[in-house]
Amino acid sequence: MKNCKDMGNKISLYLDDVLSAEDKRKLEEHLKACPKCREALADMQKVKAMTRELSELEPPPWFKQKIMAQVREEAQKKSFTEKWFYPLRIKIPVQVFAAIFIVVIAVYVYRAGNEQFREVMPPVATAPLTQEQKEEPAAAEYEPAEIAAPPAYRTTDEEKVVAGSIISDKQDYARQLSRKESNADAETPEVKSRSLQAVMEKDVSSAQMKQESHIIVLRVSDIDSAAAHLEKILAEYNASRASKQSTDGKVVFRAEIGKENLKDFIQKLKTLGVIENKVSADVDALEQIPVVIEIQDQ
Amino acid sequence: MIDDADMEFVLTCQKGDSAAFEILVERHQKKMLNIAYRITGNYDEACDVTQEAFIAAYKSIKKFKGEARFSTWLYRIAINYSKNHLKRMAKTAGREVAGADEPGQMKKEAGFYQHFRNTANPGELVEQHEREAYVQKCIASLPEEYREVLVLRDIQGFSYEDICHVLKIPDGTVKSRLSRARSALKDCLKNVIGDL
Repeated sequence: MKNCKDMGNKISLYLDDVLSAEDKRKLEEHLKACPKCREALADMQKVKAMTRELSELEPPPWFKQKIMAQVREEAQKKSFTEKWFYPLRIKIPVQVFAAIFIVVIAVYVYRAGNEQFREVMPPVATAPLTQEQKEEPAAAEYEPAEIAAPPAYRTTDEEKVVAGSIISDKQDYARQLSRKESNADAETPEVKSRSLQAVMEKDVSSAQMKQESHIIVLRVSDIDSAAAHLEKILAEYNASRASKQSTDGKVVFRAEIGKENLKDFIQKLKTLGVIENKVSADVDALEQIPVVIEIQDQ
Repeated sequence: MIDDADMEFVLTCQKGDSAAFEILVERHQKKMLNIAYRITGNYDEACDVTQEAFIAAYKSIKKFKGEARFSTWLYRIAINYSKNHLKRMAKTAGREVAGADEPGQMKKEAGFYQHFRNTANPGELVEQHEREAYVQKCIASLPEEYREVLVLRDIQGFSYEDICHVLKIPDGTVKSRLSRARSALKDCLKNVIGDL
């Protein structure tokens, strides 16, 4: 405690009794010797007392109620936002309405898209129903088993290979399916779209084939020997995509014959029996003419 | 976790029960109002500031983590709102920032009326009221940083530690500011009243 100027801070702390024991002792010693600092201490004590004596003001009437009214207003605002927008609350109707709205829009868009899709699709071929078409559902019935075990596929007696390039319809179809299945996972979207396009093209060409096939009914005395001869003739004329099906009282061959060989081929058929040209399609546009030969009893 | 009698209601309030906040308002409204009044120097403005401070506290009560007592947190809001109010008023033209109630002016305030009703001798009352008005005027004339420590320590009786928490300033700063504040208040009162 070198001078009275230092006392100012110490006197304030002395009043609150927060001085260290050492500082307190030194200050008390100084106060004994310094009337000015004693007076400062006395004034400070009076000031402190005056501030302590200041009346405490009471809040106005309804002060709490006013505050709480505002608080409730805030709470309502908060609960409104929480009720409608807080994501963790299940009972929020907004999410439900939003979900319903999205579903309705999705269904609408899906339907609208379907209609547009139908508009751009080519019209379905309205060719007369051939035997091949009639038999398709029957083939479909045994497809799953064939697909599950393609190597174990057994050809029936009726389905014989008549030429090097000839494959029975069922085998061909089953192989295609099994190939598709095995490649399905590895297919890129591009490949898928290409294969889809190929299928569509195949369907279209098949429809065309049905429309443009020569359907020849061959009436013979011995169906089996005529069928054997016909197989030889088909091989002779390098028929492609040839197949054979035996049904009630008749054998049906399907094949494609080169345009230039068609006339000769028909002449050859005449050696086997009587020909009835049931349908003669316009074949000018095709190089390979699809031919359906039904061998029937006279 | 600090032992805090308000914590139960604070937690209830944080869960969304606004009714629990009423208990907290009940407990702290008087102290909040008095702090605001001693800093702003105007009863009506202090009421507005206190309301604003309570609403602000309610809005941000979820941010209160219990690191200090709830009252400490609440009084800090009151002081900040009071100081902001003073700044706003200082910007307003024609407003005297340190304009506390004039000495001798019988302000029609609920607190004063109540105080008058409870005291026996009217002469003494006038004298006390005048003295209080002088003190208030001198407090209002102090710089803000002195005023707030003086209000918290000498009027509200906060400990040094509490003042450190409320004002977020170190202990040494509190001590030195308080010493200067008392000294300045003494000088002001000597000028206004004469002998203490």
